[in-house]
Amino acid sequence: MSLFVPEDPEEPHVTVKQEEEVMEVDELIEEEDIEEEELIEDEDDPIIREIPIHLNPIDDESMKLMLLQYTTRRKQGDNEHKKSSIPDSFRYKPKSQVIELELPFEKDKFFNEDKSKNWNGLKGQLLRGVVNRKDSSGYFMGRIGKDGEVHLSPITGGTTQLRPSFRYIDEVRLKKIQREAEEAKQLARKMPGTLAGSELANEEARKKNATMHVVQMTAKSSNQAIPRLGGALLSKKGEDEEVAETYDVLARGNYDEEAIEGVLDDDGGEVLESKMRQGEYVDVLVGDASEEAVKVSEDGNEGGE
Amino acid sequence: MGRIDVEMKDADEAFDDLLEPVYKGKSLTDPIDTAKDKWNLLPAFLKVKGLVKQHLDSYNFFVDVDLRKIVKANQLVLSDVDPSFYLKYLDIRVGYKSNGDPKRPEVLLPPHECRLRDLTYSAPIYVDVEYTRGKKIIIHRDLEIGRMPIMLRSNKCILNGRTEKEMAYLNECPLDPGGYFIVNGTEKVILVQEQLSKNRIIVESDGKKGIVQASVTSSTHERKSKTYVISKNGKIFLKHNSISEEVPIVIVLKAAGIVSDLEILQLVCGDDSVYQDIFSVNFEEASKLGIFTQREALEYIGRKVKTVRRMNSPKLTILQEGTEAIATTIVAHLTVEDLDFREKALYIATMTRRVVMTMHNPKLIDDRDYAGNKRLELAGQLLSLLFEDLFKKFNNDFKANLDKILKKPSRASEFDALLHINIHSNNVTAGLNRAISTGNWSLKRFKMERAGVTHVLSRLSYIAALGMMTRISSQFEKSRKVSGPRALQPSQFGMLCPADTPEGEACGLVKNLALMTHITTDNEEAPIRKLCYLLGAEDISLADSATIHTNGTFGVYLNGTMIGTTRYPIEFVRKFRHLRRRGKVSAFVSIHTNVHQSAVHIAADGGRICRPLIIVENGKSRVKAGHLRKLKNDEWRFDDFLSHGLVEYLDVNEENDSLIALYEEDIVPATTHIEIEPFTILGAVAGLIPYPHHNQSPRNTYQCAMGKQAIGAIGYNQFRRIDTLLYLLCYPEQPMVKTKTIELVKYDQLPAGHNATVAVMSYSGYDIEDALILNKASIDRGFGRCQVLRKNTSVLKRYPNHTKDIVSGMRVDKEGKPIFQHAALGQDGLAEVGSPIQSGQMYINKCVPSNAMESVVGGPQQNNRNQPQEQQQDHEQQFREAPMVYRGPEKSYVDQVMMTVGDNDQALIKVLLRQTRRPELGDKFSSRHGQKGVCGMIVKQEDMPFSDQGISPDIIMNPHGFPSRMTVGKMMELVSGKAGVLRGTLEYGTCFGGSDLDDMSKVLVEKGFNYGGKDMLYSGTTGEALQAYIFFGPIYYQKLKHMVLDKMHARARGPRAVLTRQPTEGRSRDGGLRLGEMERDCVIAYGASQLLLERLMLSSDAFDVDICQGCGLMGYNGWCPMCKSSENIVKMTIPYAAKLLFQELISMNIAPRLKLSDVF
Repeated sequence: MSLFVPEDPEEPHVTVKQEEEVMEVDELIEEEDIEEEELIEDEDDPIIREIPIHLNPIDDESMKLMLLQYTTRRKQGDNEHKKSSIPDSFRYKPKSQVIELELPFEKDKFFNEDKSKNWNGLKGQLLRGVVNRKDSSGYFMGRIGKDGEVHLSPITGGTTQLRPSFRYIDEVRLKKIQREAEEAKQLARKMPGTLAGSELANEEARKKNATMHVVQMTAKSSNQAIPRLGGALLSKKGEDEEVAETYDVLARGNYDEEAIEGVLDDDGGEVLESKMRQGEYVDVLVGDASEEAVKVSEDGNEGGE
Repeated sequence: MGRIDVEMKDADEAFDDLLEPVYKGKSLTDPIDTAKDKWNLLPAFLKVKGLVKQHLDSYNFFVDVDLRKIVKANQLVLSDVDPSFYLKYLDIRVGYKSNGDPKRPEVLLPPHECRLRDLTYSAPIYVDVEYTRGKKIIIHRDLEIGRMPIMLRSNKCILNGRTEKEMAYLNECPLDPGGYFIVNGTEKVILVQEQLSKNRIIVESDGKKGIVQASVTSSTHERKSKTYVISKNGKIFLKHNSISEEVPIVIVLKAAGIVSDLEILQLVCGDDSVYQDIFSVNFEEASKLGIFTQREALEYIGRKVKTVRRMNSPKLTILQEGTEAIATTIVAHLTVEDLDFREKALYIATMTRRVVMTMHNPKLIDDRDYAGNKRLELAGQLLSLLFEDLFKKFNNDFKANLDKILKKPSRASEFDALLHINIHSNNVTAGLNRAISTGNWSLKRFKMERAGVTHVLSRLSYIAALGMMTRISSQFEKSRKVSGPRALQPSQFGMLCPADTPEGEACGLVKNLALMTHITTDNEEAPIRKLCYLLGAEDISLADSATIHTNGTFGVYLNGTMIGTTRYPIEFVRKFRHLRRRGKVSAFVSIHTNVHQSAVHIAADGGRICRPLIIVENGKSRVKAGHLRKLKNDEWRFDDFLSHGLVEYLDVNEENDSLIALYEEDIVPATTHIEIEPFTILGAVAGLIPYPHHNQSPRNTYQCAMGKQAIGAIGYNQFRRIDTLLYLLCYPEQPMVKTKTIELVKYDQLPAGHNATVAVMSYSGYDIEDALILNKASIDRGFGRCQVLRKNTSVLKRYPNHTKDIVSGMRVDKEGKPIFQHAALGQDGLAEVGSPIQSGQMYINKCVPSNAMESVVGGPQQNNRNQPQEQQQDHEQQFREAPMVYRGPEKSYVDQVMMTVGDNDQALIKVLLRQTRRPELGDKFSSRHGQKGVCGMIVKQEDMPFSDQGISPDIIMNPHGFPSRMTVGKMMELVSGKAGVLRGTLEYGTCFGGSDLDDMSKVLVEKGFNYGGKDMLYSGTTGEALQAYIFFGPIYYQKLKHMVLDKMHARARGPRAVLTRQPTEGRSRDGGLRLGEMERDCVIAYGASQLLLERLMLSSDAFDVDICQGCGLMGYNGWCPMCKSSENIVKMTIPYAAKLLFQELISMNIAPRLKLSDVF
């Protein structure tokens, strides 16, 4: 079980969907690099070694790769605490694209039980992130195969930046506020003559009024448009209402490695050949941008020199 | 005029030359010198772009692209009552139907007819709609929702792409640049407006208060708001109009989801310990307030939000308020729709970072006056703002109407929305027309009121119209005395004309475009964004916060928003430029690196100023002789240069990233571009000046102002026009010394001036203070002769009671001759074309029905029915004469009479009256070097000095005009002009070039003249040779519109103001001539008290009052109402104004009592 990324230790890769750890993740190779090389020929840069590359498109049904970024994790030193780097639980809200996971604390060192109790028995660090599903990421997961070939699998599930979520603080605070409110109520009930009591009475009266209003409102609002929440508020509401799907985090050995590898390594056995020329490809990618620009013949400047 | 004037034949030949591809004596087979001939790109540029292309581009963009976007953003109309109803706009088109050809707009009324008939030149706006009728969904095409005023020569105008011949058929001048509108018969220009750029961070500091602030004006279709990140006492806050109080920045960032202090520090300060030290204090602020989580931060902000709830919007909790504020209100141009706030958080962090950087290094502030921070708003943008407002209103009205009908429970017929949409179409038409004709841009959704957006196109001369089209007005307040925004910014080089700005209060605020300037329109962002990622920029929403601001990482900003990072900025920019030069990206997208901010900025927004430059690679210009040959052979156009990567557009910011050589010999290895032609830094108006680079700079500025007042030809259709006031020069000549700009703007085809032979000498005493002596014979020959045409309009109204105005015939005296007043009239009661008309004579004998105001229903009609005979009798008396009478010091001739039907079916009569004026004493003339003067004396030719050849000058100018003005260019014009006359060529005085003075001197010497242009003259009066050699030769002189005839004014007796009984003010009201305070001082000093009394009282408002010596108050008719007696009444004369003052004082309970005593 190795969650290790030599180049960029902050972006370990975890594949979601019922399993597993990532094998030897080599490095992220961006699609553009290839494109670039075509674009500008580098002189004085001899070829040292050629590595076969397998592009393995993954069927959306069978597996989704998702890239998790731990924004608060430090570059060095985390490898010592491997335990705390494996999430305990993993919750995913597919509609609102929110991920929540919990990294367990190292309880043997620097762990304060009392504080944990204060926060409802907090067991780990809560991380939360919104999945970014932009096509622009161009991220691939790379694996070095048995013969030294590179297998590239596109990250299809999106990328997420995980940030600490201090929900437990909010929860404690909300509870406290609730409790205080209740206490105030009770206090008021015990001493009906006091100011607080009268206020409470007022409030109750107001509540009654309010309920009456509500009845009126409903009668009226049948004719009127229902107030709509827009944009971010709607999304937020959606998230609050959505029930999270819980996933298990499987350690290496707890799943069928071979099968997963099979899925990942399946490149269909075809040799990819570019059907387009570089210019055409750029045109496709740039699309509308070139629409306004003047059309140029592919060979570029045949100028009059 | 002197004999040296170019004969007409020569002028014609020169004119023909211009129409040939062969130019300046060079034929196609001649060798091409790249360095010299690259200027040919300029005519090619102007051929494609035209002088007012910015207006046309902007309008075309609006009509073709922006309009669709607006409709798309407002495409649905829903009913509150019937949820099943909807109406959806599918498409919008101006000027053509769904089955029509967009390139061939519907035939409209020709623009000239609109001018004459006081109509609006407009085309129908068609929409395709899809809506529900009952259960059915219906698609309806080509529904007209109003009419859009059409910009002349835009792609929706019928003049677009017409040949000269077709233009003539349409009564249109082929040289007219277009770019304006015709609304209710008047030509209206929407001036280019200069504004601070939107959606960009601007950092400013106030040194005294120690405040550094980064502000951004967010502008979207829906809202405009400004967000500040401001530092106070070392702490940083966020300020926004809708948040009641400044919010500590850390709280804002936490609310935007950056909860960990580590990440905040990474995003704001990167790994720079100095920035970290400056910023760290802000963390305390948040922790002091006990805010740690995103929810706490959101609630904190939610409590501070000033809630303005619109109708129908739900009540929000504090948390929701906070979320809403962060998502939509703050930095409003980045609207968050989902839960990912990272982009916005990054933007706020970037603003904060800029503040921190500036706190550390105060030099990093931005310059508001820098041209790269400015955006120019053109007709298209302004119209699009207006149209969206009107379209929204249109939809709202439509919806309100719908709801009203749908609410009714039972309807007789099935509801068809289409029947109700047309009711409001007039709102769009009228709204657009009103805004353009009044210039009041009122936009409800931004609560914006802007006045003076449009101006009447000045048709004083061709140049005046042209100058108006290139004018840029600043939003800056005129009255404020600040120098910054008025100063000439180095960044304006090549973009804005350095000479063309008015004097006085608007100096430096009103600017003009340079010759080659182009103003961009909006480019789509998405493909460019995609391209950036393709070129290796890492998406910002995927990038790791820790790496964004590490040393050597450059942010990639698209239109001011960070979209990615790159480690290889130089390579990135190079590749991007490469793609742009290949035509993969729009030529008007600019990219530049800012090392201080570690940023690569890409700009694709509209309103940036840019200009084309020749690309230099490896120390060599990309444009070679072969390319220019292709251009000459008409194989290539300017766009081919662009698409082949030989020429590119650079905006101000990208210019800063380039090393631009002025001339080919200046190219060094680092050079990236070379100028196409240096004189293009001047605008169209300043381009008329010959040798401007030899003049003192204010002189060029003065000429820019005066060139617009010069009387000349205004268009090929000038005799077909009926304008309020039209000045035409009778025999305009193209200048002997022209410039390339003159040819490019076609000033030589519509000139405004004469080549006068000028002798620089003193003559009599009537040439002091720049006065000119004119030769009478020249005037007889037509020098300075001009025509003034004035329009007079009358409408024959129709009244509600079916009566209408009529024109009645002329009245005759006993001998059958028309009476004096009717002398100019014809049988039809209208003045006859060609007849002279004196002051007091009428040109339209209009009669108004005397019962016009009587109501339709009621008495008179019934009477008429009962007594038809009487009604006929009445007929004569029913009309009251309301003629149009000509008044003026000088008689006029009737030039044109037009009768037509205007917009509202009422007859419209226009009478054009003409005066031909020859120069007289006091008329104003100027050369093209800011040297103006009035005519001081007109001298008979025989009294003028003459040369050996018998040439006598048209104008004598006093030499004192030169030393202090330092207009060396004028002297050079004379020398070049003289050489040109002798050689039979037109010479050039192009800025930074033109005919060489040495060559010109050589020509003079060859022809037997003095090398310096001085001649020996003989006195016209004595015949003796003058003691000095006289600087003598042709200079182009303009006649300015200020003429004595329009200004002369005197009065003996005349009207008085009612309130004060003092003479009225001003020439137009036949007012008196004021003896002001300073004149009064003189009279006092001189001791002429009786004169003072006469001027100030007797000749003004003397008034006899009765003063009661008993009470000291005023009485009347020898009676004091206070004392109830006539005993002590004394009569005396005081100014009526004084009497008024006393009465006013009495009215406020102050009793001014006059105690009179004898002086002697």
